[in-house]
Amino acid sequence: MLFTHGRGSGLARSSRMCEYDLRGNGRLALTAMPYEVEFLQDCLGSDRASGDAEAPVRSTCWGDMKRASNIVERGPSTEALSTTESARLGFRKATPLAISSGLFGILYGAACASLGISPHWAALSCILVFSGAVQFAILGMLGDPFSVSTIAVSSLLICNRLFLMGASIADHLRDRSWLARLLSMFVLTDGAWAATTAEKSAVDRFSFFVSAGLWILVLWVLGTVSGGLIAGRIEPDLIVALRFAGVLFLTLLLLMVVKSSAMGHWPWIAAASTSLLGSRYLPMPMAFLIGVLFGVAVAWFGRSERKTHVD
Amino acid sequence: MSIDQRFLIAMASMAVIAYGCRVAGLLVGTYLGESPRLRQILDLLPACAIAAVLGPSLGTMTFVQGGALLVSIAVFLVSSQFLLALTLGTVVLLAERWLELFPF
Repeated sequence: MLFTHGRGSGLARSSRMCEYDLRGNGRLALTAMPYEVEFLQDCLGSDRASGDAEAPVRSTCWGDMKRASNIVERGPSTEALSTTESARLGFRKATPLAISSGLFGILYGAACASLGISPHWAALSCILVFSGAVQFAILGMLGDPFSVSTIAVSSLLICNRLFLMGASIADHLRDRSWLARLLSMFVLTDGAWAATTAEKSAVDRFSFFVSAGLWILVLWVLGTVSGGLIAGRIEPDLIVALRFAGVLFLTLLLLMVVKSSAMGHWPWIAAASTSLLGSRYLPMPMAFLIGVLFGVAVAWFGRSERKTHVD
Repeated sequence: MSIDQRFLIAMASMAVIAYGCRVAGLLVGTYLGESPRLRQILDLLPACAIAAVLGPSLGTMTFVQGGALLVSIAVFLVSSQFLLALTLGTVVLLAERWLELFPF
């Protein structure tokens, strides 16, 4: 293990995610440290600031610390992060998702430009709608015959995921005012939901979620504007070839959530395979609904079995 | 009607529906999600929805797209690096185009 520290040191007093706590009986309690590099810098700074009086404590602790490091497994922190730290963590955790969204934004901006839509309108649609699946789908409905009702029904069918994510994330936002919750819904998207759901540290969920969502939104908008500006250099074939990257993105999001869930893989495999099978014989919305319900049923009964076994 | 006008109308419809869906979900989750059993279901639903959306796409994918998907999944499972996995998957998708440029 990299670090040692006694109680009352600068590090232990700080609100960081990690802490060694040498108790009076010589037993060692340890909370985990997922951000070792940043922590190392903080730890070194704290050591320097903590003064000579603590040096003997550290030197006598070293052996215990070293032994403890061999038996304690790292895991998510149980120490609550402040609002600012949670927001920073949300920003950091959402960065890969935001960059991916930015790249999809380039494709969206280019697709809009190829239809003659101004980059400004495309960017505004990103801010107001902020749902790539709907935005891409509607581009194909702007030709003749133009039908608002078709667009509305299609949007509703695609947006059902947003409804489910809103319901899922509501519990994390319960301690905030209604105004804050309603405003935060503008940044609810697959990436922000997945990052918030997958996060296991004791973060301020609201700050984490909002900063993750805003960061994804910023790069999504920037990507769209860039795509509109460089549309002439992007071949239409390239956009078609990269369409499947959306499937890759959603698959990885799903894996991200599954890895953090105790449910295992079977519910999601069941949902995907049932909707695949259903799509051969039924209209797509019906196949989707059956897939979702079957996945939930598998998760539900699978959970019951495990619980009974444990009891 | 110009394309910009059509797009504005479509954008307004999409924005209202997307935000309405989010808020409706928030209300349902807030008022109905206090039961632990219902909460578990609500937490499961979005991931099942993503899986159900993916299912039909997986059934119609080409050989190269399947390869890209496998590469992405494998890289993510091994490294947990989202961006790396997506990038390598995308490279496989693009490889098909590049290979077409060099007929053997």
